[in-house]
Amino acid sequence: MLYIENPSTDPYYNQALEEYLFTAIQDEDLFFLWRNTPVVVCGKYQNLFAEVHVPTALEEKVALLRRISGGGTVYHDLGNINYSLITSCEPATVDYTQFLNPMIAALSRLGAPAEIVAGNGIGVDGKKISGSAQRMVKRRVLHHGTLLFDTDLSRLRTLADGAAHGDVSKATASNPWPVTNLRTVLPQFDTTEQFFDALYAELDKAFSFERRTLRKEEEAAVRKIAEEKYHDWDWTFGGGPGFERTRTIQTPEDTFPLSFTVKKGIIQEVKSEQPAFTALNGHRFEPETVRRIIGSRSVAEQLF
Amino acid sequence: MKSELTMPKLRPDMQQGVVVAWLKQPGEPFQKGDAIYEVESDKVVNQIEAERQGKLCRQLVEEGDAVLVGDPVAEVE
Repeated sequence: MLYIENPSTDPYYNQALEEYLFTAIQDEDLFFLWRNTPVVVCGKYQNLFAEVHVPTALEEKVALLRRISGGGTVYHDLGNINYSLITSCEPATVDYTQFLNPMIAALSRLGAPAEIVAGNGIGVDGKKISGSAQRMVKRRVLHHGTLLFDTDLSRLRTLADGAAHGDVSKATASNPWPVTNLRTVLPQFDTTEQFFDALYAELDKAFSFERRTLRKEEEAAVRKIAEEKYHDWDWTFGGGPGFERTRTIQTPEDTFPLSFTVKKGIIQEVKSEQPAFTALNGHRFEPETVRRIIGSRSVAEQLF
Repeated sequence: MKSELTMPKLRPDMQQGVVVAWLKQPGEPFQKGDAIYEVESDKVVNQIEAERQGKLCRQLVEEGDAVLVGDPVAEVE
């Protein structure tokens, strides 16, 4: 098993790295552990606008990303460790246990009573410490998961609460589950870095890693994917199914209903007794644009 | 000769999957191994490939529709 060394904590780069390794390397089994600075990551076919209050995330300098696998929305910070395993598989045959079991065994050896919860997550005492998702193309599978060690759980709950917030959409729903940090059951580790190193050592016993660093041209290819796809507004905000939204808007003078649809990130079919709102038609559903058109920050934020 | 593509069973306990994206449009020809559509089920996004060459005649479901295992998703020839 190749272990890809990756010191980056840039969420855009790391998402691109995963995609690069999944598509460019077809004949090796790959594994890597990685961390991100604060970011909310939604599944490929989710309604990002229902999963996260976009203006709050931007204000708090939390990055927003859309990944290439299925499933729901997660929050990462440097207290969370992600793992990715890329290998070959039988086409169209989904199996989580072959990926979850080595991680559960490693966590157990470190002293965490880990078990499968919610179908494809890992939990301790019934609370989730890890969610996972997959992407399969031809005979390759990418399995990745989170490991909450010392994540800011209150921020996780505020930024990505897993509720659909009344939107009508065919988007993939998140499946909220009580969560906890591994730190509560592994008090011997003072820092996430210490846990990271111990987890690596346990996994190395199971997988016998052969460490490999990316060549310069491979890094350049990863940066290109990060720039062209993961930094692209259309991929992140324009991706996922369209949705219909109804909100009750409050201004200092008035309270009134507003409904609109968003398709590929563009506002359409605005219905409101306040004609000023119809000017939103055809514009991007992004905080800055909505504020500029409506002329009020507090009203604009109520649309999100 | 026309035939139907049906929702595959991707794991033993799978009941249904969501057709999340069409990668071929009506009238478009495909080769064996080409990806026709993407299915999401149990947090996996899976590209479903053509088992032989042909042409997509009709998409029987829309993106975002949940389809029971074995039910038709497309007409091909």
